[in-house]
Amino acid sequence: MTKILTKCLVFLALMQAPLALAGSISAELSPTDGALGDTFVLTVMLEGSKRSDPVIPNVDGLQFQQQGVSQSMSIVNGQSTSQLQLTVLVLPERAGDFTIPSITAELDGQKVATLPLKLKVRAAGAQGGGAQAQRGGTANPNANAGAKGASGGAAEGTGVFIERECDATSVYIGQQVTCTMRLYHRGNLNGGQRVSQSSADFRRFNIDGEKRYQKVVNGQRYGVIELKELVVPTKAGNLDLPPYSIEARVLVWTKQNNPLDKFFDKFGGGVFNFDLNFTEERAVTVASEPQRFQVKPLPDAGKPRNFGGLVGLFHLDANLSKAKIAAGDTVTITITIEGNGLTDTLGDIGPTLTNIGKVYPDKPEYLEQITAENGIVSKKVYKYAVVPSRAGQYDLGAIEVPSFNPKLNQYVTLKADLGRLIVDPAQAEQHPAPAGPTLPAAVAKEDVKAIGNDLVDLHRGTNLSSQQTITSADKAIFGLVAASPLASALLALGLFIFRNREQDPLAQRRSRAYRSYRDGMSKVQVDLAAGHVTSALAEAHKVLRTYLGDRLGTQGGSLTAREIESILDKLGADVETRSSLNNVVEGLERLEFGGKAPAPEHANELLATLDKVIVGLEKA
Amino acid sequence: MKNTTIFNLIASFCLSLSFAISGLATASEEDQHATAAEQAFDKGDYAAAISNYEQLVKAGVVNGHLYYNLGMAYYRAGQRGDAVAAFLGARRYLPRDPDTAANLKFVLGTIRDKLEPELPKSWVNRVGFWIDRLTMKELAWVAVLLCAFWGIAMTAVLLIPAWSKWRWYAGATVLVPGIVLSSLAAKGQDNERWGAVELAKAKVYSGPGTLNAVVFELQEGAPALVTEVAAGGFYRIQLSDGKKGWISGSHLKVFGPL
Repeated sequence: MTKILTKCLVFLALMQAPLALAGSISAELSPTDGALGDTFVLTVMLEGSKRSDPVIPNVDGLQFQQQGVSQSMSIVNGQSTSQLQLTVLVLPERAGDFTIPSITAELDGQKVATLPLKLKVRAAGAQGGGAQAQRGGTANPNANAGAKGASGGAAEGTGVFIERECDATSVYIGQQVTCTMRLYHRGNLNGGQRVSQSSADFRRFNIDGEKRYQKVVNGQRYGVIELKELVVPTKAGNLDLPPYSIEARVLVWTKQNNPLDKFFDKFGGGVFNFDLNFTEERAVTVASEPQRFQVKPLPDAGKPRNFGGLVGLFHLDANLSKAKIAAGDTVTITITIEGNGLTDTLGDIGPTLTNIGKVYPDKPEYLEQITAENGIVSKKVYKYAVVPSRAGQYDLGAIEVPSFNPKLNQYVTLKADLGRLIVDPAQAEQHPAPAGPTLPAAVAKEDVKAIGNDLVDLHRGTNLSSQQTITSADKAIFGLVAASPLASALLALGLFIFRNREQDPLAQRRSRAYRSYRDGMSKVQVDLAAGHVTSALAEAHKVLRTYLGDRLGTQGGSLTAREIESILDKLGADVETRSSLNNVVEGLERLEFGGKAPAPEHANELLATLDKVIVGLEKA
Repeated sequence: MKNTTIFNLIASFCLSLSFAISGLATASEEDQHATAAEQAFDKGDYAAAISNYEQLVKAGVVNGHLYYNLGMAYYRAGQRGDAVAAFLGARRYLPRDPDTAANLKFVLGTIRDKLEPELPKSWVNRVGFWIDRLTMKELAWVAVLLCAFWGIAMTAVLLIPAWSKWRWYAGATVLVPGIVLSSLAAKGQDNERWGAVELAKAKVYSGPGTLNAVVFELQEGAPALVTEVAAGGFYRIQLSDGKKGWISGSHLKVFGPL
């Protein structure tokens, strides 16, 4: 049954072929194998005198985008033939094997069709295989680069990937290695930044600048951004240099379905794709693979005793600021070590000159320059201010600094002769040896900037694992310590307010007494000014009694002379105030109940005395 | 019912015990890292010392002495940017420690960008100089104790009639814990999050993202105060010379919580 079916299919295919040839329709897909993110081109060619538009069927996972149409017409023996070439971009939306079914059209009244086309789309970044070869790079073209190491990594579906190649992978501790990173992209890179990956095993130095160029690998054109860094291993063993990562912003095609397209899809699709295609920026992290280094320890054979860990190619220079000085004056010894390698961790290399006088080391000056051509070129300058205390001729000897040359695989001792120093004996008596650690005035400021030339030691014997931040437990303790007294203060305040409110009416009356008196007396003055002396005095009497009643919270109108006396006692009035008040009260009662209107002057005098008494009582 | 209660009690006790034991185990592991780091440092194996100290940092330990020792190891290993960052972190928790100040000054002397690890002082900073001399925790304790003392004093003057004449004075002293609490808030906001550039060179942008213009560049070890943390991992920084900008969080190392 299967055999019969196969034969039928072959027959049908053979039947199709002459149809296609007769109708002159053909289609070509290039390339037929690639990675996600790549672009494939479908070219459809039709030739015939009467033709319809070709119909490109929909394929799930593929997006067709018309790129261009070219038409031409030729007349041969009076018969016209038109040619149409249609260029369509095929954009895969996912990886997989696809078949583009026959593309059909009507030519000269006959229905013609192309053969189905196959397309293989691999996931971006997949190792090996034809797709990697097509993409040229992710497959790590330098994988067999001998001692060199290379690694690569890509971001899925973006066509962006990175590879790293290091000059050497078998190195000594402290030996610098240049690593080159190449970021491949298909012109869709919109920016990016390096993601720092620190490692305790390596020191890493970025080399400024980048190289941009284009590279065609296996027929694919890539934009390449080349970056470089220097790495220096800090310990021996098989060490992995962390990946070189870049956070890239990549433009990717996205598709938004259009209702028009759905409508046309009902009729079998068409040449014109109505999908809305647009690009969007996507942040992706591309990282190379970790690079394995075989880091060799520096050999013990021939290692000088005073070896300070200097690895590279250096030269040493030493000089004296003066060859002849007076005792007590300062001479500066400058020692410069410079070369290809790092000198920043090199310790003190100064001469031992205690037999001459005091030596004051300056803080070493360190400079480094990192270039792609020379790697790390560093320079360390040591300065020592020497103040000879004794006269004489001194052979200062030579400075020796051992270093390891990784190219020669051996230790090299750098030497620089300091020469002779003559200290004038005539000056020795006038300049006794400086005592104590303070600098003599003769030492120039620029020669000695700082006494200390190293860090203070570790903090030992301290608990390094105790938390010094404010923890939840601390917050709980803070809450307990602060909340109880604050809560009790709030309670006490509440109680205080509550009690005060109970006593409030009396207190308010007391505090209003003087104000009420002043208000009442202003009315009295108005009456007096209008010539109503009797009524003014009667009012004044009333105001006075109200005031006294308010001060003690009683009814003032019914106060007897004894009660008034008692009030004055409570208020602490002095003898004069007391006697004046008694006189005023008696006077007012007499005038009020005596029936004889007093002279206005007498009333004024009485009211003035009353004012004085009240002011006295307020003060009391 | 009674049996269930007893069972629950026993289960709770066992659970608490297991937590306590695991806590002790963690503490012991941290101590081991600290000891191993110190031994490695003494042998000159700075990479191992760094690795052990960093284990403690990764475990969430926030400790000025730890940062200090880590700074020492970084410097010895030649990682000057990390060293500056570690000493700045140590200063945050050991503000009165002369060793930290000395080492920070020393390491800053070796870096290219000559920047101070503090902002120029305004008159407010000068008046509040003592704030910089205390850690957040110490300042919090001062504030808490002052609040407690004030609460006790207020309770006494409000409840004891014989002390009623002190009411206004006691009320006015609320300013003291108030000032300390404000200082605490200001310290938390402003002058804590100092970090240093980790890479050999780092770009500083006008906004949080690499699409913005580069306003200046900083070199390894340059100290900067983080004044804001943006969602995309960018830090807004301020330098002692007044310059401001945005730097990628992966380029600036800060010890301690941000």
